[in-house]
Amino acid sequence: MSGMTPDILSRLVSEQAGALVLYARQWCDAPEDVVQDAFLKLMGQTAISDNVVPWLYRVVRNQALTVSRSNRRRRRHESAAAAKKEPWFEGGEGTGLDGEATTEGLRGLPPEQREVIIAHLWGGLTFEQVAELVGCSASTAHRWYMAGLSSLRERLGQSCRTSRNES
Amino acid sequence: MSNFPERELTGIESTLRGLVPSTGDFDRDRLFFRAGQNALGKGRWTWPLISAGLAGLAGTLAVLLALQPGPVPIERIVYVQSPKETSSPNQTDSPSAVDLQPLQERTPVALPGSYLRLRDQVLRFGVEALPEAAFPEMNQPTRPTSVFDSHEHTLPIVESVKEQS
Repeated sequence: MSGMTPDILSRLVSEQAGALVLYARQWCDAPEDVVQDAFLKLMGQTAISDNVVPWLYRVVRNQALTVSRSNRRRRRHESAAAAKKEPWFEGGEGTGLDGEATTEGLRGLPPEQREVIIAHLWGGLTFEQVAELVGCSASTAHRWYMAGLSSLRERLGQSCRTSRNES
Repeated sequence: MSNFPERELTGIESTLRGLVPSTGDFDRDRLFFRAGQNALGKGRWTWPLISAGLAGLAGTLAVLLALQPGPVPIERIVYVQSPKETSSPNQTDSPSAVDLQPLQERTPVALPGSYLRLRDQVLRFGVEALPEAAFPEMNQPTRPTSVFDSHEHTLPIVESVKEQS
């Protein structure tokens, strides 16, 4: 266990802020505040464990779910909120994928598949860490991940040959 | 069960990883500002509390000092030597004689009947303090042994005492 230094904090913010905001977008409309509170809570810790990234994802998840439950009662225009063009990704040029299409594809996935994909692909968590975060087994997490990726591929309309040629 | 081979999924994995998640309204500078505020707030009341405690202690001590009673006067009995009591050597029980005795012992020249003692008595209390029978055989001519025993030196004083008495 070690204390949080400004350099470590700056690196964490640079590497994980975007992925954490994307992770929190699944549940609430103000994911930036949730992520900021998570980082503030991290800086308030006296001792920091080595698995600080999974800790951040857990804090963000709990806080986002809490905000989502409190907003659900007040939310009247859920369709309007869903149609809100809040970009989940920046740009997307050069990847062959459209950011908005990917956003729509992710939105269309079941919640558990979307969560596992975001945590593993952009958060960098292992399937064991994702399983502990979500509350399932590692194999279940992997199964959800593969299923979600398959659905995404179908939604995005990319053929097997296109991806083979790119790789 | 996946519909696609793992290879193709790896392809879409790398493609999806190429997309950079948007940070939205996440303000990095605001985050560090709030972190600094939180760090400052932890010990914000430490020094004010210490100052208030010391001020209260100083005020309490000041009140106690103001309410402290003054010094109690100490009464002591001091025996003052009376001139009449010194002329009667028989009054050994009186306090003046008792107090005077140590003084006589301390004074090397305060020997009864000595010239210096008589001189001291005259200087302190006047010629009236001279004893009547201070010089025995004063009417008989005596051979002076010293200047101090000379009748020429002492007779005028005795005559003046007798005249006054």
